[in-house]
Amino acid sequence: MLQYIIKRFLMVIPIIIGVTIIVFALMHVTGDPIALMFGPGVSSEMVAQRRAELGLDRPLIQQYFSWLGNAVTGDLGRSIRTGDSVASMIQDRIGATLELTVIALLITLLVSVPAGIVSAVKKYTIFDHLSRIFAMLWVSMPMFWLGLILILFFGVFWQVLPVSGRHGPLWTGAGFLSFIMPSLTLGLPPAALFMRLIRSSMIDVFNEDYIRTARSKGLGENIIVYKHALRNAILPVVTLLGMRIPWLFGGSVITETVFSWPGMGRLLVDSILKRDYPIVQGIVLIIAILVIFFNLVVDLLYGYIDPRIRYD
Amino acid sequence: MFFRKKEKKTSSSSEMGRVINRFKKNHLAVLGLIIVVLIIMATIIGPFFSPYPPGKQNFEVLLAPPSAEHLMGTDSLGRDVFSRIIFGARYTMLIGVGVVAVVAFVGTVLGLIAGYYGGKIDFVLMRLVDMLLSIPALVLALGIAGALGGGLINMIVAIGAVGWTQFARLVRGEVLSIKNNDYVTAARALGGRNSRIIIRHIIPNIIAPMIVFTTLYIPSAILWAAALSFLGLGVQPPTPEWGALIAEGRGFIHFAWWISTFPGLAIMITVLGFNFMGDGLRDAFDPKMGKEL
Repeated sequence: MLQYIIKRFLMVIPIIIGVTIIVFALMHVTGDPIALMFGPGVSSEMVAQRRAELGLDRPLIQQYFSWLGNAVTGDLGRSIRTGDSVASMIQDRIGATLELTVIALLITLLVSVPAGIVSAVKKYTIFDHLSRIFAMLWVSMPMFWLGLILILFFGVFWQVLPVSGRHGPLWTGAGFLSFIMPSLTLGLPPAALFMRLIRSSMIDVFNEDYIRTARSKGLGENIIVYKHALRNAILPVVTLLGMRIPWLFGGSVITETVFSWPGMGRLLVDSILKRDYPIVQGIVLIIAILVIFFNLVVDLLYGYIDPRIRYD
Repeated sequence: MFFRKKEKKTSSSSEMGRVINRFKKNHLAVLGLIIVVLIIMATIIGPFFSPYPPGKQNFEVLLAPPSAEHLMGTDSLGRDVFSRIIFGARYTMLIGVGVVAVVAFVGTVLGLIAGYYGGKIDFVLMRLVDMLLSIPALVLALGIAGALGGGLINMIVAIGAVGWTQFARLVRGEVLSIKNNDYVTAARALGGRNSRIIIRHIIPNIIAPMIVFTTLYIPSAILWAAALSFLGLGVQPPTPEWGALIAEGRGFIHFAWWISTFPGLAIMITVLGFNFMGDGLRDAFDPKMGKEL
């Protein structure tokens, strides 16, 4: 097991290096951040001087390796606009993003697993048809629009929830209320996909021989559904979970923007718009590392759910 | 069972005829097709029917709620929301088709090369795909769009540059599954050149999954484009692109709900139409084809 984890980590290193090259190239090949920062009407000497200060006049390869060398030690550079340390800016915001994504993921599972099971057990009933229609509607909705519609109803018409910001930690009353809409916005759209997958994979499992065996030996329907079927049906769901993790962080960028959530995603959008490339590089790198880490967790989860899977 | 019986009667018809027959029996698929056709009509003849020019400002009816004169109300500059949505349809369609064209072309070429030739080039291409997939697609698209600067074309390039990976994987998988078939081996034994084998034997056999994937990819492209425009990195106001329209209305949500709500509904209906149609095509081409593309 430990060997497997170490091997996985070693495999991940080239991917992370590749990601850093992509990110670095993106930000440096196109456009001059300094010219944009000063705007027109600034002398070219001033621009050149600022470029020299930031080391932008060096060859790209040299710039890349010095950035990478610093990144390994935890130094992600400084914002070119404010001069603040990128690492500490990310540190201040990563918590809010992680809280939001984890709670959204819980919402996804809490909605989709029961709905999927009921749909499969009671297939072709009204509940099944309705939940599939809702699922279709959910996946067809732009996420930011869902956020705005929630704001419209809960924030504007009924005025029961705060429309933006994070009002304290989750366990405080105000904090909890401010979590509801952002986490629903991020958690509900993927729930539709999960529900459909759980439904179809449960129906497949119901046709297996061991389910017939369980039925014929007189086991109760609840034990069959939850103990025999669900455990086998959940494997494709774990696969989908792994595939959706990058999406979750992408979605958090949108959600954070809609709800003015103080996380990394909003900082990323602001920094892209202002071409503050050290922040963009830092955040994309951190997000890629998080995605890779969560995928590793999902891989290990396989072995826990299905003891037939061995790591070697 | 039901389908089989019917099929026997029309066994003389072509494979395409069977596909069309299966498609026609799927009510949701036909509904999807109707929605898509309506949206396409809106892009072509819609402007003749739109009640007002999309950019016409009328300061006497600022933020007017929906009424008989302004079906979907007016925005902060007194522009008619309904007219703007009709004109916006063409941007949405252009983006959907444009992105899919880029994605399909790049993905098919790279997927064919990786799958057909295999070896080192396959390894390198697939590792590149792995890397791109470990960065959230939206984040990468945002980065590219930001680097290129906003605008319609740059947005299409940005989304296309991110989306080809899935397509390449699909094409590669299909090629791998057929390249060892007897007819391919025979063509090779007869001394057929690689380019000829790919064009004559490989491509015709992967066209069905490609059509399905393309249709199912258009909704994603539309949703992504709307998200980029909403975040300010796509089509810029005053262009009435639907995502941009939602962004414009966002600041007024406290007293004019209609500005953001209707463009969102338009996106949802369009995406729904393509989803229904894509699902129907998938089932029509091959009822056994994987449900999770």
